[in-house]
Amino acid sequence: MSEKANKQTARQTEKTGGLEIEEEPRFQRRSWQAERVAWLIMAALIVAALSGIFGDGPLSHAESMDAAGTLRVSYERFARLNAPLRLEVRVLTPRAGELRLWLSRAYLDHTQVESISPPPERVAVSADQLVYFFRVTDAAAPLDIDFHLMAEQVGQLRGQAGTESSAPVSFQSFIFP
Amino acid sequence: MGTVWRAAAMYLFLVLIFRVCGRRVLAQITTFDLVLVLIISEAAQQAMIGNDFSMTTALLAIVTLVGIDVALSLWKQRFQKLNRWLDGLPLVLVENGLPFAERLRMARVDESDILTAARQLQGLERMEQIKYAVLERSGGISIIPL
Repeated sequence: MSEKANKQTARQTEKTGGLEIEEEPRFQRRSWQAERVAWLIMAALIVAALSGIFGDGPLSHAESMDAAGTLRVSYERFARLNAPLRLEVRVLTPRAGELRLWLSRAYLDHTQVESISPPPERVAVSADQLVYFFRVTDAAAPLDIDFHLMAEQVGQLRGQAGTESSAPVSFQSFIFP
Repeated sequence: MGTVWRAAAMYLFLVLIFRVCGRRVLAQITTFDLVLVLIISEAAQQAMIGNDFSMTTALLAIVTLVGIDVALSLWKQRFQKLNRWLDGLPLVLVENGLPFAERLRMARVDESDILTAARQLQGLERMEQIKYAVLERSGGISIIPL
Protein backbone atom coordinates (compact mmCIF):
# COMPACT_ATOMS: atom_id res chain seq x y z
CA MET A 1 0.00 0.00 0.00
CA SER A 2 1.25 3.51 -0.75
CA GLU A 3 2.48 5.86 1.95
CA LYS A 4 -0.39 8.23 1.38
CA ALA A 5 -3.02 5.51 1.91
CA ASN A 6 -1.26 4.40 5.07
CA LYS A 7 -1.31 7.91 6.50
CA GLN A 8 -4.98 8.34 5.64
CA THR A 9 -6.08 5.19 7.43
CA ALA A 10 -3.93 6.11 10.42
CA ARG A 11 -5.54 9.55 10.61
CA GLN A 12 -9.04 8.15 10.48
CA THR A 13 -8.41 5.39 12.99
CA GLU A 14 -6.98 7.99 15.33
CA LYS A 15 -10.17 10.04 15.06
CA THR A 16 -12.55 7.30 16.02
CA GLY A 17 -10.14 5.53 18.30
CA GLY A 18 -9.83 2.12 16.73
CA LEU A 19 -12.90 1.98 14.49
CA GLU A 20 -11.80 1.49 10.90
CA ILE A 21 -14.51 3.46 9.17
CA GLU A 22 -14.65 5.93 6.34
CA GLU A 23 -15.94 9.16 7.82
CA GLU A 24 -15.82 12.66 6.43
CA PRO A 25 -17.43 15.26 8.70
CA ARG A 26 -17.14 18.00 6.09
CA PHE A 27 -18.81 15.91 3.42
CA GLN A 28 -21.50 14.92 5.89
CA ARG A 29 -22.26 18.52 6.75
CA ARG A 30 -22.47 19.52 3.09
CA SER A 31 -24.66 16.49 2.50
CA TRP A 32 -27.06 17.68 5.20
CA GLN A 33 -27.10 21.18 3.76
CA ALA A 34 -27.96 19.78 0.35
CA GLU A 35 -30.70 17.75 2.00
CA ARG A 36 -32.25 20.85 3.55
CA VAL A 37 -32.11 22.70 0.22
CA ALA A 38 -33.81 19.75 -1.47
CA TRP A 39 -36.57 19.90 1.15
CA LEU A 40 -37.18 23.55 0.32
CA ILE A 41 -37.41 22.67 -3.36
CA MET A 42 -39.89 19.89 -2.56
CA ALA A 43 -42.01 22.28 -0.50
CA ALA A 44 -41.93 24.82 -3.33
CA LEU A 45 -43.00 22.12 -5.80
CA ILE A 46 -45.94 21.14 -3.61
CA VAL A 47 -47.06 24.75 -3.23
CA ALA A 48 -46.70 25.27 -6.98
CA ALA A 49 -48.71 22.14 -7.70
CA LEU A 50 -51.47 23.18 -5.30
CA SER A 51 -51.64 26.58 -6.92
CA GLY A 52 -52.23 24.94 -10.28
CA ILE A 53 -48.92 25.18 -12.13
CA PHE A 54 -49.24 21.54 -13.14
CA GLY A 55 -52.95 21.74 -13.85
CA ASP A 56 -56.19 21.59 -11.91
CA GLY A 57 -55.80 24.66 -9.78
CA PRO A 58 -56.49 28.38 -9.53
CA LEU A 59 -53.53 29.35 -11.71
CA SER A 60 -54.45 26.87 -14.36
CA HIS A 61 -58.12 27.55 -14.87
CA ALA A 62 -58.80 29.97 -17.72
CA GLU A 63 -61.64 31.19 -19.87
CA SER A 64 -61.76 32.50 -23.40
CA MET A 65 -64.69 34.33 -24.90
CA ASP A 66 -65.38 35.79 -28.31
CA ALA A 67 -65.86 39.54 -28.69
CA ALA A 68 -69.64 39.32 -29.14
CA GLY A 69 -70.03 37.22 -26.00
CA THR A 70 -71.78 34.32 -27.68
CA LEU A 71 -69.25 31.57 -26.98
CA ARG A 72 -67.18 30.88 -23.89
CA VAL A 73 -64.54 28.17 -23.57
CA SER A 74 -63.30 27.13 -20.12
CA TYR A 75 -60.00 25.32 -20.30
CA GLU A 76 -56.87 24.49 -18.32
CA ARG A 77 -53.71 26.44 -19.07
CA PHE A 78 -51.61 23.56 -17.80
CA ALA A 79 -52.24 19.85 -18.09
CA ARG A 80 -50.36 16.57 -18.06
CA LEU A 81 -49.73 13.83 -20.59
CA ASN A 82 -52.16 10.90 -20.48
CA ALA A 83 -54.21 12.68 -17.87
CA PRO A 84 -57.81 13.86 -18.22
CA LEU A 85 -58.17 17.23 -19.90
CA ARG A 86 -61.48 19.00 -19.90
CA LEU A 87 -62.82 21.59 -22.27
CA GLU A 88 -66.12 23.22 -21.31
CA VAL A 89 -67.82 25.05 -24.10
CA ARG A 90 -70.77 27.29 -23.28
CA VAL A 91 -72.91 28.63 -26.07
CA LEU A 92 -74.48 31.69 -24.49
CA THR A 93 -77.01 32.61 -27.18
CA PRO A 94 -78.09 29.41 -28.87
CA ARG A 95 -80.59 29.24 -31.70
CA ALA A 96 -83.22 26.56 -31.94
CA GLY A 97 -82.49 23.91 -34.55
CA GLU A 98 -78.99 22.85 -35.35
CA LEU A 99 -75.84 23.92 -33.50
CA ARG A 100 -72.60 23.55 -35.38
CA LEU A 101 -69.64 23.61 -33.00
CA TRP A 102 -66.23 23.31 -34.60
CA LEU A 103 -62.89 22.57 -32.99
CA SER A 104 -59.51 22.89 -34.65
CA ARG A 105 -57.83 19.66 -35.64
CA ALA A 106 -54.50 21.07 -34.47
CA TYR A 107 -55.82 20.56 -30.96
CA LEU A 108 -57.88 17.42 -31.43
CA ASP A 109 -55.24 15.53 -33.38
CA HIS A 110 -52.99 15.57 -30.33
CA THR A 111 -55.65 14.59 -27.86
CA GLN A 112 -57.84 11.58 -27.48
CA VAL A 113 -61.52 12.33 -27.19
CA GLU A 114 -62.80 10.21 -24.34
CA SER A 115 -66.36 11.49 -24.40
CA ILE A 116 -68.45 14.46 -25.36
CA SER A 117 -71.31 15.35 -23.11
CA PRO A 118 -73.94 15.69 -24.58
CA PRO A 119 -72.95 13.43 -27.48
CA PRO A 120 -73.22 15.09 -30.90
CA GLU A 121 -75.66 13.97 -33.53
CA ARG A 122 -72.96 13.68 -36.15
CA VAL A 123 -69.44 14.81 -36.90
CA ALA A 124 -68.14 16.36 -40.11
CA VAL A 125 -64.45 16.30 -40.94
CA SER A 126 -62.42 18.83 -42.86
CA ALA A 127 -58.71 19.38 -43.25
CA ASP A 128 -58.35 21.71 -40.31
CA GLN A 129 -61.57 21.32 -38.33
CA LEU A 130 -63.91 18.83 -36.81
CA VAL A 131 -67.51 20.05 -36.80
CA TYR A 132 -69.86 18.64 -34.20
CA PHE A 133 -73.60 18.88 -34.91
CA PHE A 134 -76.02 19.16 -32.00
CA ARG A 135 -79.79 19.41 -32.16
CA VAL A 136 -81.08 22.29 -30.03
CA THR A 137 -84.65 22.03 -28.74
CA ASP A 138 -84.64 24.70 -26.05
CA ALA A 139 -82.93 27.93 -27.08
CA ALA A 140 -83.85 29.82 -23.94
CA ALA A 141 -80.88 28.91 -21.74
CA PRO A 142 -77.14 28.77 -22.47
CA LEU A 143 -75.92 25.40 -23.68
CA ASP A 144 -73.02 23.56 -22.01
CA ILE A 145 -71.01 21.07 -23.99
CA ASP A 146 -68.20 19.25 -22.20
CA PHE A 147 -65.33 17.63 -24.01
CA HIS A 148 -63.50 15.02 -21.94
CA LEU A 149 -60.11 14.62 -23.55
CA MET A 150 -56.75 13.12 -22.82
CA ALA A 151 -53.59 14.87 -23.97
CA GLU A 152 -51.34 12.70 -26.09
CA GLN A 153 -48.48 15.03 -26.81
CA VAL A 154 -46.12 17.00 -24.60
CA GLY A 155 -45.67 20.73 -25.07
CA GLN A 156 -47.81 23.63 -26.13
CA LEU A 157 -51.22 22.66 -27.47
CA ARG A 158 -53.07 25.46 -29.27
CA GLY A 159 -56.69 25.19 -30.22
CA GLN A 160 -59.61 27.14 -31.50
CA ALA A 161 -63.32 26.67 -31.28
CA GLY A 162 -66.33 28.41 -32.71
CA THR A 163 -69.91 28.06 -33.81
CA GLU A 164 -71.49 28.99 -37.14
CA SER A 165 -72.51 32.35 -35.65
CA SER A 166 -69.44 33.30 -33.60
CA ALA A 167 -65.86 34.39 -34.12
CA PRO A 168 -63.14 31.81 -33.33
CA VAL A 169 -62.17 31.52 -29.68
CA SER A 170 -58.56 30.61 -28.93
CA PHE A 171 -57.21 28.60 -26.05
CA GLN A 172 -53.97 26.83 -25.30
CA SER A 173 -52.60 24.33 -22.83
CA PHE A 174 -49.09 23.40 -21.91
CA ILE A 175 -48.85 19.65 -21.45
CA PHE A 176 -46.33 18.36 -18.91
CA PRO A 177 -44.80 14.95 -19.53
CA MET B 1 -38.73 4.49 -27.16
CA GLY B 2 -40.69 6.19 -24.41
CA THR B 3 -40.41 3.43 -21.83
CA VAL B 4 -36.62 3.59 -21.75
CA TRP B 5 -36.60 7.33 -21.10
CA ARG B 6 -39.29 7.11 -18.50
CA ALA B 7 -37.60 4.22 -16.70
CA ALA B 8 -34.27 6.07 -16.72
CA ALA B 9 -35.85 9.29 -15.49
CA MET B 10 -37.72 7.42 -12.76
CA TYR B 11 -34.58 5.61 -11.58
CA LEU B 12 -32.55 8.80 -11.32
CA PHE B 13 -35.40 10.67 -9.66
CA LEU B 14 -35.87 7.92 -7.07
CA VAL B 15 -32.14 7.81 -6.30
CA LEU B 16 -32.29 11.53 -5.67
CA ILE B 17 -35.46 11.39 -3.59
CA PHE B 18 -34.21 8.64 -1.33
CA ARG B 19 -30.91 10.40 -0.85
CA VAL B 20 -32.81 13.42 0.28
CA CYS B 21 -35.51 11.93 2.47
CA GLY B 22 -33.01 10.30 4.73
CA ARG B 23 -31.65 6.80 5.07
CA ARG B 24 -34.01 5.61 7.75
CA VAL B 25 -36.96 5.30 5.35
CA LEU B 26 -35.13 2.79 3.20
CA ALA B 27 -34.33 0.72 6.26
CA GLN B 28 -38.11 0.45 6.88
CA ILE B 29 -37.90 0.80 10.59
CA THR B 30 -41.55 1.59 11.20
CA THR B 31 -44.58 0.04 9.53
CA PHE B 32 -45.28 3.33 7.87
CA ASP B 33 -41.86 3.37 6.25
CA LEU B 34 -42.81 0.09 4.60
CA VAL B 35 -46.17 1.49 3.49
CA LEU B 36 -44.42 4.56 2.09
CA VAL B 37 -41.99 2.46 0.07
CA LEU B 38 -44.87 0.37 -1.28
CA ILE B 39 -46.88 3.42 -2.29
CA ILE B 40 -43.86 5.00 -3.95
CA SER B 41 -43.30 1.85 -5.97
CA GLU B 42 -46.93 1.91 -7.12
CA ALA B 43 -46.76 5.54 -8.18
CA ALA B 44 -43.49 4.98 -10.02
CA GLN B 45 -44.75 1.95 -11.89
CA GLN B 46 -47.88 3.69 -13.11
CA ALA B 47 -45.91 6.45 -14.78
CA MET B 48 -43.23 4.20 -16.22
CA ILE B 49 -45.43 1.64 -17.89
CA GLY B 50 -48.77 3.42 -18.29
CA ASN B 51 -51.35 1.68 -20.40
CA ASP B 52 -48.93 -0.68 -22.02
CA PHE B 53 -49.55 -4.26 -21.01
CA SER B 54 -47.09 -5.90 -23.34
CA MET B 55 -44.29 -8.15 -22.16
CA THR B 56 -41.87 -6.22 -24.35
CA THR B 57 -42.39 -2.99 -22.45
CA ALA B 58 -42.04 -4.68 -19.09
CA LEU B 59 -38.80 -6.37 -20.12
CA LEU B 60 -37.45 -3.15 -21.60
CA ALA B 61 -38.23 -1.18 -18.48
CA ILE B 62 -36.53 -3.78 -16.29
CA VAL B 63 -33.50 -3.99 -18.57
CA THR B 64 -33.19 -0.20 -18.53
CA LEU B 65 -33.36 -0.02 -14.74
CA VAL B 66 -30.89 -2.83 -14.16
CA GLY B 67 -28.67 -1.46 -16.91
CA ILE B 68 -28.46 1.94 -15.27
CA ASP B 69 -27.77 0.26 -11.95
CA VAL B 70 -24.87 -1.69 -13.43
CA ALA B 71 -23.54 1.37 -15.25
CA LEU B 72 -23.61 3.39 -12.05
CA SER B 73 -21.86 0.68 -10.10
CA LEU B 74 -19.08 0.53 -12.71
CA TRP B 75 -18.77 4.30 -12.67
CA LYS B 76 -18.58 4.27 -8.88
CA GLN B 77 -15.63 1.90 -9.03
CA ARG B 78 -13.71 4.47 -11.02
CA PHE B 79 -14.79 7.61 -9.19
CA GLN B 80 -14.87 7.25 -5.44
CA LYS B 81 -16.57 10.61 -5.07
CA LEU B 82 -19.61 9.33 -6.94
CA ASN B 83 -19.81 6.57 -4.37
CA ARG B 84 -20.13 9.12 -1.61
CA TRP B 85 -22.67 11.27 -3.38
CA LEU B 86 -24.88 8.38 -4.39
CA ASP B 87 -24.68 6.15 -1.34
CA GLY B 88 -23.54 8.43 1.44
CA LEU B 89 -21.05 7.57 4.14
CA PRO B 90 -21.48 5.76 7.44
CA LEU B 91 -21.80 8.05 10.44
CA VAL B 92 -20.69 7.34 13.99
CA LEU B 93 -23.54 8.32 16.28
CA VAL B 94 -22.35 7.09 19.67
CA GLU B 95 -18.82 6.73 21.01
CA ASN B 96 -18.10 5.06 24.34
CA GLY B 97 -21.62 5.46 25.60
CA LEU B 98 -21.90 9.13 24.70
CA PRO B 99 -24.17 10.08 21.80
CA PHE B 100 -23.22 12.98 19.51
CA ALA B 101 -26.28 15.18 19.97
CA GLU B 102 -25.62 17.34 16.90
CA ARG B 103 -25.25 14.31 14.63
CA LEU B 104 -28.36 12.66 16.02
CA ARG B 105 -30.31 15.82 15.38
CA MET B 106 -29.08 16.32 11.82
CA ALA B 107 -29.53 12.67 10.92
CA ARG B 108 -32.97 12.71 12.58
CA VAL B 109 -32.23 9.66 14.71
CA ASP B 110 -33.50 9.28 18.27
CA GLU B 111 -31.61 7.86 21.20
CA SER B 112 -34.45 5.35 21.46
CA ASP B 113 -33.72 4.22 17.87
CA ILE B 114 -30.15 3.49 18.91
CA LEU B 115 -31.24 1.66 22.04
CA THR B 116 -33.70 -0.41 19.99
CA ALA B 117 -30.90 -1.44 17.65
CA ALA B 118 -28.67 -2.20 20.64
CA ARG B 119 -31.31 -4.49 22.11
CA GLN B 120 -32.11 -6.21 18.83
CA LEU B 121 -28.58 -6.71 17.60
CA GLN B 122 -26.50 -7.14 20.71
CA GLY B 123 -28.91 -7.64 23.55
CA LEU B 124 -27.52 -4.59 25.32
CA GLU B 125 -29.41 -2.85 28.07
CA ARG B 126 -28.06 0.67 28.37
CA MET B 127 -26.33 3.36 26.31
CA GLU B 128 -23.20 3.04 28.47
CA GLN B 129 -22.66 -0.49 27.13
CA ILE B 130 -22.34 0.77 23.56
CA LYS B 131 -18.82 1.35 22.34
CA TYR B 132 -19.82 2.54 18.89
CA ALA B 133 -23.17 2.98 17.20
CA VAL B 134 -22.90 3.62 13.47
CA LEU B 135 -25.62 4.78 11.10
CA GLU B 136 -24.81 2.71 8.06
CA ARG B 137 -25.37 3.72 4.46
CA SER B 138 -28.36 1.42 4.26
CA GLY B 139 -30.07 3.34 7.05
CA GLY B 140 -29.69 0.62 9.64
CA ILE B 141 -27.81 1.16 12.87
CA SER B 142 -24.98 -1.19 13.75
CA ILE B 143 -23.81 -1.57 17.33
CA ILE B 144 -20.39 -2.44 18.67
CA PRO B 145 -20.55 -3.35 22.35
CA LEU B 146 -17.84 -2.53 24.90
